[in-house]
Amino acid sequence: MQVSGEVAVSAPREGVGLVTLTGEHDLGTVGAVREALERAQAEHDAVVVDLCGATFIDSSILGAILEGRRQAREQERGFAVACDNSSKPVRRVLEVTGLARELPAHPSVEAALEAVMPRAGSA
Amino acid sequence: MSEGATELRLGIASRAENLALVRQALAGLGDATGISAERIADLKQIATEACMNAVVHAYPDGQEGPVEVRARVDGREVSLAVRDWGVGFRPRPAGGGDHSLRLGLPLITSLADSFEVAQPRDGGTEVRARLVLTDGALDERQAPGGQAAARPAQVAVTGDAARQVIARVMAMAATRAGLSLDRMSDGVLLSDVISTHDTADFSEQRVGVEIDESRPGRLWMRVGPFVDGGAHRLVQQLELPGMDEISLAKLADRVDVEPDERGDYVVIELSGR
Repeated sequence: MQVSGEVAVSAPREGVGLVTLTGEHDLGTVGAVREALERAQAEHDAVVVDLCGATFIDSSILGAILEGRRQAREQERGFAVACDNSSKPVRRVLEVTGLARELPAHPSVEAALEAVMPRAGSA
Repeated sequence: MSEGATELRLGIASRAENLALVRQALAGLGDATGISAERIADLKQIATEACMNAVVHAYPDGQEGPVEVRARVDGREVSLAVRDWGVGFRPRPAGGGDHSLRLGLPLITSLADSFEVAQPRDGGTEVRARLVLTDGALDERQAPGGQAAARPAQVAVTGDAARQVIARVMAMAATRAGLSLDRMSDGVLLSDVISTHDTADFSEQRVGVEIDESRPGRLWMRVGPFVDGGAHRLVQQLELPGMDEISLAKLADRVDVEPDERGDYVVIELSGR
């Protein structure tokens, strides 16, 4: 039984840090999520947050993602979120808060990587 | 309580890691009552947001205090109440760059069919939300009740939901206490007997379990309160030979009946060995 969610940072493409959240994430894991986002921003030109394997996120996690996006914008770095339909609760949270459109949330990691690549290349 | 309603009462300490425990208990309630996965997901989201407010804002200076979650499934309606005994509701961000509370309240209002924040007379805050499962008339709002929780997580469930709720909460507590898989399965056997014990033996017919998983490698449970003689009947049931002719009571390191002002309790301890 997975007690809490996990977060990992990888680099699937040059210049892009991929922050992958799996399982359930809330106030208990938001510190680890923030840390992963900061590390990805520090080490890469662009960041993609993959929520496809996350089964639950609360507003503290949304807050951390929005903060990550704000920092990326300030530094003119690429930032994108991936969320497919495999986790309906997460998709629903993004939709009812209007963040699915605002972030925006891409339907796959590939699409999110594509969205940040031009900026990653030019940075 | 009206006929056929199922109630869950869960008391936790205001710690971030207990939010997952709340979701497990609600998932068990959903399994037991056949609520759709979508509606249970909404309920878990609302409960998490409301509990998070209590964890972050109810008790000042990083202190811990009790948080109580009550859920009631009655026909086509689920009502949820999250109560703390802290300094009151603060729907404002805690500091710069904290978007979470600004998003938390809109989330609750978007997902719930109705929502209110109450300030109970004896202090603290109660967030109440109601979800309608299908189209239908809304019942009268439930009057608030309940009392402060102690440090261990507390669950009280009525009727048939006990088995699913307590099994999930136990499994999570055993995992967090770091018990081995063998010991976890002993815990599951014990929780099965507790949760299927005749509810008439429990006070108010609520199957109550307090679980303290904060001692590493050790799981402490207090079951009750029971009506007169009920605690001893549960112990007798645990002492009956099960599979392999070993009594379930022998699986535990300790099974004792302890009286309290609210009635007798059965205290069970499982070590990791």
